[in-house]
Amino acid sequence: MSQKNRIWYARTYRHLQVNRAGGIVFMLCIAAPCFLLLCFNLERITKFMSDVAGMFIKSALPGKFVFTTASEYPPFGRIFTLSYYSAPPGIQEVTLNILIVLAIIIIMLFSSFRGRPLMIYLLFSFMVHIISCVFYAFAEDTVIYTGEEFSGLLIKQQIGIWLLFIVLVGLVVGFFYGRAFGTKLLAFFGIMAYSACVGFLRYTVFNFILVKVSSLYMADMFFVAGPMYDFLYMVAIYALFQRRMQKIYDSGKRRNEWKWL
Amino acid sequence: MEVAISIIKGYLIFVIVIMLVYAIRHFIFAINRFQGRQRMYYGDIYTSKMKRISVLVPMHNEEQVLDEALKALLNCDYDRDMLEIIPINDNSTDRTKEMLDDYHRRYEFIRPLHRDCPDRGKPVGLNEAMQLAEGEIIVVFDADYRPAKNLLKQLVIAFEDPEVGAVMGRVIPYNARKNILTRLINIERSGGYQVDQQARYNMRLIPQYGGTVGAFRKDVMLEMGGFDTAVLAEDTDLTFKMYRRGWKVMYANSAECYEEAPESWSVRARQIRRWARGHNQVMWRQTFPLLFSRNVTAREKLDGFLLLLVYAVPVILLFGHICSYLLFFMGEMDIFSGWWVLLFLGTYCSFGNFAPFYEIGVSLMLDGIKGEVFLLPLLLFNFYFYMWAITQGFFDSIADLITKRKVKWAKTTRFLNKGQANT
Repeated sequence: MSQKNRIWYARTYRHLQVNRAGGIVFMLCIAAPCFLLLCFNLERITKFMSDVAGMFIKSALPGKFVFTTASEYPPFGRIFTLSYYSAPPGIQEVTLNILIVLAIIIIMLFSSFRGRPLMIYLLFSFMVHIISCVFYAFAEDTVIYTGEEFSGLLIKQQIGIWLLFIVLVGLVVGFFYGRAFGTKLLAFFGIMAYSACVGFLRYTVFNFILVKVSSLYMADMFFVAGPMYDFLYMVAIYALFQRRMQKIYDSGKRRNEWKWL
Repeated sequence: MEVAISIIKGYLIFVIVIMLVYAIRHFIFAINRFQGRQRMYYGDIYTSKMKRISVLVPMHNEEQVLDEALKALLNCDYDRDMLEIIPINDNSTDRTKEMLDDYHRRYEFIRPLHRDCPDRGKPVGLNEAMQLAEGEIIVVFDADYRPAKNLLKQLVIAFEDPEVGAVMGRVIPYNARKNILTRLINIERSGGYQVDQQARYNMRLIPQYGGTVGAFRKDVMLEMGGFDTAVLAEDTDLTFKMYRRGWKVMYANSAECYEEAPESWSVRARQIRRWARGHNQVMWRQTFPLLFSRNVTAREKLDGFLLLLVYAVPVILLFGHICSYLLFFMGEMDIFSGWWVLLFLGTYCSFGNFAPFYEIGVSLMLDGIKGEVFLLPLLLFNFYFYMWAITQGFFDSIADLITKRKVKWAKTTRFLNKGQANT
């Protein structure tokens, strides 16, 4: 042990003990039950989400007709979504949106911001919005998705995010970083809890916008403000977890668990 | 219309499969490096007679950085009788020539090669220098690289193994703390070398020779006809040529060399575009020969194929995004609404040699780099940046393929100034 303490820093070959059993246990005892729990309770979860979101929208927009409907989503069974009328955008709204977005793009292209990753990401996002505007400009009064269909898409996307997160976070947290079980549980449930809150909030806000404004923003909601932000906070929480593990293994009581060859 | 929709859906499934393959590949690499038994390098080989080596340093207008590079090389622990340094002054118009001649006056074994001819470029310069080189092993550095003291010995010792054709060392940015871009490059480099390259070496796959901080056997290279001057990524080309002829490429994780990472986004974009163009040129040339080579094992073929495809993946993904938009506006997104999430899995987790978040997380822990892990979320924006630059490079390579045009060598802009020289 004293010998190990002398090796304070050697990055070439150091590694941790293989923890396959720990990873498998984590997947079987934590991730798999969560996965199954979610799969078998989608009806209840989506009903709760839709009921609460519907209640909020109805109270915020009293004149609007919003209700909950059920549909089949094989192989998960029944899921609940909101049903409402989302008006197609008028030509004025479309034109205004195009002008504003084009103005922002032009400003960005001539700014010092040009060529930066954030700008390229924003350009991709604005492109989605412009495509949406152009579509409605040429196909006025077209309904690509009804309110019911689109809230169904949002719910299905959210289910996809949650299921994927359980598997991905389970694998990354479960199989790496040795035996710090408590910290792993905290990271896993922290990400899932955050994701549940964000998912619920997003579902409510997006449907609210579609009821109140128009269906012009459907594509933005689906592509731009969709899973990308989920991955963003997932990685941010993972970073907190990794930092904690680094502290434990580099200066904490687990320092001696490093293998040097 | 239905046929078009079926094709688009089929393509999306193809993209998702590709993304999953890369995600699994990187997960295996990360697990292997973090918790697997490491394959040792040749550190314990003792030899009293070092091999004669020639260090080639291509230079084009490098007055800013050449001093530091040559000083670092002179500090290297290697028998001077067995060492020659050939800086290749490739049509420089600044003070590079005078500075090199001055070094030559002071150190006999520094023998500059002054090139003053229209066919400028790294591969052609290296080919010419190889003809003059007296060493049996050629070591290549870029002019902005600073080798660690034991680097030359570390690289060269592997050639005691008769199967080894080339060796690659580890690259670490020395200006990592300069700005957000260099910090991001630093963590990407950490993931790429500490985990990706070392795991490939552990698993006896194909560690990539990276064109600099590497060494190869001169006779093998000359037998292969030298570097192909029509290829921008002559390093990747060499890796696959070596494997197809039955040679192995080794990775020396402790052979560290310090580089200057680009400090501006425009320089980084040009660099990535050039890499993508060169790498995809190699992909068009080497994929089928690799797959049908008798000297390459099945696992090397699989890894080599995925490695060759690395700079095509962002383009495949970009078209996947476009297909998703099409499906959405056709009102056909229904079943893909959940699958779309998997495309983001690809976006975030499987981006070829730029390493997914868990791979970088693991490498930062192994390297003992503290705090930088909080930069991880920013990699998502970087992904769009890379996707754009790589797509341009990909189409450049297609244009090269069709028009057979001659490629032009472009040097990465240097940022070092005298005030920074000793940082």
